[in-house]
Amino acid sequence: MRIGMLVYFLRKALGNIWTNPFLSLVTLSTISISMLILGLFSLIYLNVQQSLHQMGGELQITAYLHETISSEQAKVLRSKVADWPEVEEITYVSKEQALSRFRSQLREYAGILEGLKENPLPASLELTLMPQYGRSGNIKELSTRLGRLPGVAEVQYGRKWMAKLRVFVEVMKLVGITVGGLLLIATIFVISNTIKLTFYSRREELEIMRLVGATDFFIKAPFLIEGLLHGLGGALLAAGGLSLLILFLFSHLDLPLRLAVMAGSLPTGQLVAGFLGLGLLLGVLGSMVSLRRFLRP
Amino acid sequence: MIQLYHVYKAYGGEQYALHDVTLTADKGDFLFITGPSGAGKTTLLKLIFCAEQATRGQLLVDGVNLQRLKRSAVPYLRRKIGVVFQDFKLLGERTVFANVGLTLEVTGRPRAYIEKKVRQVLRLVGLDAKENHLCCRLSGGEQQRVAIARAVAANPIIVLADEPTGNLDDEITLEILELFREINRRGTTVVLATHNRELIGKVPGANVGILRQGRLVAAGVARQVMAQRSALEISSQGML
Repeated sequence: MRIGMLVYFLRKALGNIWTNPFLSLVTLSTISISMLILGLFSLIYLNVQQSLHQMGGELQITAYLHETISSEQAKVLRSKVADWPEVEEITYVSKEQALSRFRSQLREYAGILEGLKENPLPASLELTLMPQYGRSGNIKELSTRLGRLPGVAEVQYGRKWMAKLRVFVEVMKLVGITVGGLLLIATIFVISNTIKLTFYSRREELEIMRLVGATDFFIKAPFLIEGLLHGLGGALLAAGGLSLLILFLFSHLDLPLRLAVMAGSLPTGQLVAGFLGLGLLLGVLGSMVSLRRFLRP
Repeated sequence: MIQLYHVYKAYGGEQYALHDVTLTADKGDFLFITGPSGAGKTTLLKLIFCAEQATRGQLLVDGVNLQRLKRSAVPYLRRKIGVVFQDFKLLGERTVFANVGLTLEVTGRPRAYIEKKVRQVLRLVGLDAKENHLCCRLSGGEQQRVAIARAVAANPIIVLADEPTGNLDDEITLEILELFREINRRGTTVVLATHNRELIGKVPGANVGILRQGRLVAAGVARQVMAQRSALEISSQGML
């Protein structure tokens, strides 16, 4: 296609937008609000999921050993468990090390242990998991396997709230997909309606153009570009709105530390690019829906 | 240039708008299609520029069989045919220049070419001083001239005109007819549908096809056909 032709189509598309400013404003607002809501959902979902992923990677399992087990037996056990593919790192913590760690970490409560004749803390093996094994199901299975080993008295992998958080994330995902899907359909509908109205307002001219030899493409192209511009404009507004919202949340709200850090390190460029891509797609789809109906032979 | 062989056009059921019409127009011909209202004149023109498709028969325009023409090829055929519509089909809120330029815009011509060509055809129809006027502000005769200018702007090989003088007074009618003669003198085939038989005699060397209720009742050199028709009408009146 020649540049001159492209400029002609662009001029026509801008002319369409200019002659229906109110309609264009409503369309832009609808697209940007829909995309903003969608973006918020995606953001929260990505944020919590990434947090979970990181926490999963850091997750430790502690296997407390029987009182009767000797340090040699414990070391054999350690080297056995160290060979498991899920385990990134394993540390043997003897009874004495556990006691000194307790004393140094909880100095103000150190007095509790003064009256005791013998060390009540058990020896333990502390496992750090490979990040890819940090999912809930795997941890549970691993801790069961660990508990069955001779010499292991109890296994703890704490943070039960993580399981609840995962359920929350799954629910969020489902709600996000449903609401997002509906909003996207609504957006396509709004764009297609706008194009339809513009088409109606110019139908006389388009009919004449057809009669004097305009191809379908020549008639369609300005409307496709109009839809595309609406989609892009809406996406830009939504991306801007979302960035402002993130900045506001980041600076004004007392978010949990991890979430706040995440919000600060979001891939903004990718987010904007994603929004623009989605805007373009919605614009073209919206235009095509109405043009297909109107340009049927 | 235009060949119709046993062409039928039905709009649902057995009611034919055109019934077994066989007619030709060669390159550079001036062909009148005449007949009373509802005879099928407009339908015939619509078939030629692919606004309608024949129910049966064969139509060839510039060697192209319209019955086999793909939908995507229709615009390219229309660029070879300039049409002056009965209701002008002008955009009233646009200027004369914009209306005439539309024909060239749709072919993707550059701006400079469009400006040059539009001014050239506006000179031809005598409207060069009114290129910036809105069409809705022009008189009927002027609007007709704009429609003619638009029809010839893209240098078509055929110009079709549907009742181009229908609502004009005698003086303007003659001016408009003279414009079509000028277009024809430049080598363009002109097909002019009119119910005004007086016009036919004013174009020496023209051909005519007379339609009645969708049937072609006479065709040939206009002067001979019209003379025969007149004689026939006089004798039938005498018999009454």
